[in-house]
Amino acid sequence: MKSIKLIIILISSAFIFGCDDLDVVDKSALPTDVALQDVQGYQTVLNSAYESVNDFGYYGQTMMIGPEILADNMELIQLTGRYELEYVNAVNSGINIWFNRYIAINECNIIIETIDDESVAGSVDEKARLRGEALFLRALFYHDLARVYGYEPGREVDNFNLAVPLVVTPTLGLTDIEDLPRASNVEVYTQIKADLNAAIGLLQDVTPGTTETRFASRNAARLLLARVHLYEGDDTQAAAFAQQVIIGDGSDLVQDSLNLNLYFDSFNDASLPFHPESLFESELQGPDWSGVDGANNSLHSLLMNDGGGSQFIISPSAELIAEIETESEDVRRDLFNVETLGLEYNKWRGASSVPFQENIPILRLSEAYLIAAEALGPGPGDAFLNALRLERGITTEVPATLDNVLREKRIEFMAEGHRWFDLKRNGFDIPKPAASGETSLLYTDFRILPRIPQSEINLSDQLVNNPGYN
Amino acid sequence: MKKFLLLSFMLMSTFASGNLWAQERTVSGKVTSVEDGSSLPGVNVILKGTTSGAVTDIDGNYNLTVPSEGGTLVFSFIGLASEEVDIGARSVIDLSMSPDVQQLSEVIVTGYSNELKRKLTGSAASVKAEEIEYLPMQSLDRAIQGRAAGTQISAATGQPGGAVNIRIRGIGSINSGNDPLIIIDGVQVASLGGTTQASQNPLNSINPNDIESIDILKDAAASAIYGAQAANGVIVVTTKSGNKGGQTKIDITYQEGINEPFNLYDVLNAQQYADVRAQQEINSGLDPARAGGSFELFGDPSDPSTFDNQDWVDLMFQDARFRTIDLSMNGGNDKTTFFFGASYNLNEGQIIESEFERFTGRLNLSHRATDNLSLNAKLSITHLKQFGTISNGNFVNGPFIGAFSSIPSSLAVNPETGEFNPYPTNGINHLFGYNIFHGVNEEIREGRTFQTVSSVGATYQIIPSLSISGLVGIDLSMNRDDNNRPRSIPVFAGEGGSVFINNRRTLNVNGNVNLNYNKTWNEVHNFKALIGYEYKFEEREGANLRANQFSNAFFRLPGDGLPDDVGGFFQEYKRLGFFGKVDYDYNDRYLASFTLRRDGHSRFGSKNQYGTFYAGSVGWRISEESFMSGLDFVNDLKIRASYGVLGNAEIGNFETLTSFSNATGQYAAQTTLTIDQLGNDEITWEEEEAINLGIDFSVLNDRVYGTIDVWRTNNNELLFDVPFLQSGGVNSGTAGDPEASIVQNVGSVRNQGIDIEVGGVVMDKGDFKWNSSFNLSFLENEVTDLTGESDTIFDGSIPTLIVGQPVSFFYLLDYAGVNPANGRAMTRTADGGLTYNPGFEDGRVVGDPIPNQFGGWTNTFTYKGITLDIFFQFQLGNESFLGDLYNILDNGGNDNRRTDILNSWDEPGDLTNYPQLTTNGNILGVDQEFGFIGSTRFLSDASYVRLKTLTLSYDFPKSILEKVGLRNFRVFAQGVNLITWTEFDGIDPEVVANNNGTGTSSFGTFPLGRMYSIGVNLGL
Repeated sequence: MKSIKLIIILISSAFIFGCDDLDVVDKSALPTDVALQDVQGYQTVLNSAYESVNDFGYYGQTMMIGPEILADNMELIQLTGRYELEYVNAVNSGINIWFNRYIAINECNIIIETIDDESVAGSVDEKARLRGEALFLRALFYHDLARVYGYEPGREVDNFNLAVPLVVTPTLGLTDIEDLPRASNVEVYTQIKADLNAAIGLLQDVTPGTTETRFASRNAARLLLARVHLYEGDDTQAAAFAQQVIIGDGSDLVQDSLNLNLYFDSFNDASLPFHPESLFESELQGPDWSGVDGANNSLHSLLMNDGGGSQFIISPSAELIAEIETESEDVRRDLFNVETLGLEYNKWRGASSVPFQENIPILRLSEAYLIAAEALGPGPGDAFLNALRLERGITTEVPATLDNVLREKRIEFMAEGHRWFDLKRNGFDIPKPAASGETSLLYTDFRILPRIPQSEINLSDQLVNNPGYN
Repeated sequence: MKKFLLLSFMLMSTFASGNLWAQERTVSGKVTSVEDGSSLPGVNVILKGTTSGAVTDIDGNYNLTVPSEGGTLVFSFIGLASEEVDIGARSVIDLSMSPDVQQLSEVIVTGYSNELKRKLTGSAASVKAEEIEYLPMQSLDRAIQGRAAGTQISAATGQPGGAVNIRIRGIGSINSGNDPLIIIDGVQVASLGGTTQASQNPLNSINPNDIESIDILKDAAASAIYGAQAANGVIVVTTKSGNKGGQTKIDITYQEGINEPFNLYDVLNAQQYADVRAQQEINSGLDPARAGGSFELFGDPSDPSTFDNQDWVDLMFQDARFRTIDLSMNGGNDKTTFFFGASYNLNEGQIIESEFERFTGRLNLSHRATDNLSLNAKLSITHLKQFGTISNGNFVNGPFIGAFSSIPSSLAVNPETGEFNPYPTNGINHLFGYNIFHGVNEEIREGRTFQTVSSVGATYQIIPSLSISGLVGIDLSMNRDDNNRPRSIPVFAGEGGSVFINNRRTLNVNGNVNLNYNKTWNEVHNFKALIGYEYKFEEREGANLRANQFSNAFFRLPGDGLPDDVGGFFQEYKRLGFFGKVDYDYNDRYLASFTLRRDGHSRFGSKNQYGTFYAGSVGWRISEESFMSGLDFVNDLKIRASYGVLGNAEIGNFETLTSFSNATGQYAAQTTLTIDQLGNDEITWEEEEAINLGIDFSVLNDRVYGTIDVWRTNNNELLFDVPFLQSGGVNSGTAGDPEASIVQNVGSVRNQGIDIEVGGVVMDKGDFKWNSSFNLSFLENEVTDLTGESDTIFDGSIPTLIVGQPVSFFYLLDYAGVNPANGRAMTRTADGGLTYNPGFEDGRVVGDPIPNQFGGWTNTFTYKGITLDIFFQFQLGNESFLGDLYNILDNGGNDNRRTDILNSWDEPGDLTNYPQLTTNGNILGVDQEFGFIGSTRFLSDASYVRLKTLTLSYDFPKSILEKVGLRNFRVFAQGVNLITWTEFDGIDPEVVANNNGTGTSSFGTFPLGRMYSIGVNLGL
């Protein structure tokens, strides 16, 4: 009897001692090893980086309007708080893409650094494609960070050459976060070029103007690489990659010389959801917007006077209109509507299936012509410049001087976020519309570079802010 | 470790053998009660210095074999004073034992073991059953309010069965929890899991009348055995057990009473309101008689026929009924004892349509299977139904706001049809068009919870000095919430009404095994040791669904509408611990104790999953020294000191894990995935370093006794949400606040204070006796360190934590009154000037919600069978922000106002704190209430002294009862919250909404009611 009781007690003790595991599962969240177990998982992470391209804090709004209104292409016609400081280049205004870009860069880093691990299920080809696309996106993101937060190589003011911290390893836990100093502009450019060259080797060609351009392609990488070379002053390489793009995939400019409405229609999202010249275009669909926030922040709402409740706070500057008017044949003169408050751009027409929504072209073929023209200069570059002008209805030919190319680019890419960067990378002062009440912003003024977010400076022992901010 | 424990257990069991005496004789006798001469069963009779002993039988008789010469018998029984009797040459020793009026043999239950209070070197406070019996409180935490030093308890709501905040020795944590660990019969109860349709309290499952004792372990020495969860203090609750008294005792209590709201705000009647509204318009340059003006909307104050009058406060509050029926039985024999309890409890709320209804059942059973093996079960079941209103709801249309702010000229019910009116009847937009009276009458907000907190255990006496015991406890609650918003209420008609059903299950299991060793050498070296192992897991999960578009307001099952939303959640954690404790004392004079515990917790990363906690303490019972022997008036005098390090793990369950979730939107019609939480493998326990110095004394034949503790705790490694570099590329911030942040161990808080408890017999003359006990705690709280170099943490532009300030404080503008010249509100600027238009930089710390002193005072007067019990409870030195006045003392807007709005500035020269009335509350574009930050205008001293309970009872004399065959018969009358002395400008200084359990704002709170009851207790 006694031994039986002893056994019972021993067994029940052992039962309690047997409970010793401390493993728990959070059923509502996906653990890293499950999320990243196959290429399909990596594809969804890459999708998140793709999706972020049309964030309102990036090409969905900031990167399209900011570079225009900081320069001389836009006028504020209604004061709502938005862009009021950028319009007058106030201290602490400017473009801030720091946070949302580093999130997307981390998504790219995860793919680039870990997808080739043997434990990840999937074919070698699939992995190569995903890696190539991630490399392209990371290059695009660092290109934007570098041109927003730093001077271009060779254009430094007071030899200040710092760009942004170059994070190229994935963050999967707190201990992965390193307090990095800002890398120099040359170091960042070197990384961008390496990423793009690797991407060109891994990516395929796509058909311009189709849904395929929502993903990175070989020609998109070439065009971005041409631009990066142009920014750092390497005209030879810039011209070479631009020409590869032009002849590369059989696409062509929108030929308005054949059909007077073709260029106008190319921005019609209903009939042409992807721009015919697009090499890379960010796709937007209904689920990407939550409620009215999407419509309120859309390019369409800010730039057009839509009866559906848009804000219409910005119109093209008088100076831009005057510049376009100098060429009476230019079909782009038709790209404006007259509203009570002023002219409106008829470019961001928000006419996809979701009101106010449209896909966002990031890289268009036109840019390759203008890069080639600029890089080759008067003489060799004339043909590229005049080919584009002709397709826009202008029959008079002009030499490919820097002024002529920048004028053409200002008009071709109005409301597409090129103007500020084209002036800045050339070390030009920034002219301002008379309506802003501002005089030109000197290139040597510290406001050419924005503030690095102060919260980030506070958390770091390594980061220094841009000159003039402390 | 496992193997070691098993091995030592087996080794020790082989030593089990009895003691043999060379020459023996037998001593026997009978033990009786000195009070009534009745025999006392169950008294331990032990031959001093040995383990040889016996227990008295049903008739109080014992029989014991002792050595042929000398020897001393020790008689002991819980609740009676132990006695030592030299045997001498006697063979029969009868003894009368007296109740233990003194504290010396009081037992403190410290969880895995019991300790005599006189040997305790840590700091603990106890509340016994008789102190809280018959209180009309639904949960034990309410009942012990003000009765234990160092333990601050405040009601978070006046709702029956609602939440209570318990803070033992201050607030040590900022982000992580501050609730103490609560253990009921060995079960570590979960703090969450109940209804969300009304304020929830995890202790509602226990009928307070089933409770035998509540022990509050305050310092490191007392609570270190609980290691990783002990930093917030530990409350150990023990329910009643049976007596071996032969005949089964039956107790029946019936109590009935009313609960009436008190000190509610006086608000304007319709005429005054019409007057104020007209004044608002006139002051804003409008003609109230114009089309669409205030005369049209709210009536012309000079013509009563132009408006109706509705007293919304009267409509929403009521004198509520409550009723308690309680039945208990206990009894047993030598081998088996039991306690059986059943109760029914119904409490209406002081707000209409809010009530609490509970059934409880309990069976506590203990059985001695053999001389060495005893088994124990404590089983309880509870069913709880709460019909809630928006308790403490921060909604302007909740009853606690809406009753005071609803427009008094808008009738709730159409007097002709009897139908509910739309709100307001004049069609303006106010309180979201929600007729609050209609809402509480037709909405259903019901929570039903079934819960059991039960444990089973066994103890095996291996040898007299060594036992092993095991316990498995379970706390299971099943909750179902229904929230039905019928389409008959206009604001819900748009979606066709809705039904929301939430099912939750909380399962919380803990088990432990421990070895107890207990030995005395040479009669003076008393040694106790305990080693044990414990494992615990908790799972919380739920599923909910919502449907709308019902074709008729009658429908309330989801299938009758259209599915709208489904959801669910899952949470779990696991914890294990090894612990050991050693107590040693030399001849009851020099005491020492050491505790060590090592805990592992699933909440922490693999690098820091285990933590070690410990405490050491020493005590010196000076009264046992020979040099004290001349001081006969000193019965007991002990000084003690303790030091230890405890833990706090009250953070989210999954903070260490990196996880992915869907990012917003899609791409190419595919899903997107991103990191939504970055894991931190480095985080670990918050640590509390605690030091305590104490003195216990009892003098003048135990007529005066007391305890004083001086203590300090430093809580370090506090778990904060700390921002990290955004270039790290992960957004762990919340939606809408895209700051990258993660829980890390940084920052420190210091609490220090003094706990004083004194009591005694103030007067004892003839049949009249006056007992009094008083407790007072002093508390100081200060943040001593924060993350990084910053000494302030901001929420937007308002500081929320500042080094050198308490963990919670009020940061407001210093209100400077109204300029008599123009009626504009002014505040002081940072540099001491006056301004009409202050900014954030003019704010300052103007007070805090943490009391500096709190405590209670109990007085019991007895004369023959009459007992009068008077209990005061108080807290001093804390402030509260009267958020509700922000609405009802607004100088503009549509809300009804408290009547003192009539003091508003009217003409130059008026001296008042109330700015001029305007339509929107602004003057020259400035909000006169400075709503962006608030001002001291609505800050109020929340100190109070409250006559908490007054109980008058009469016990019929035994001589009468015996004739009718009753054991006892008592009638009693009681009042609760009878008188409050306070400067507080709100309704109830005790109930203020929570922030860190200390209260900051009275906005939307459910105030306590004043309760009167009568009852009868019958003992068979």
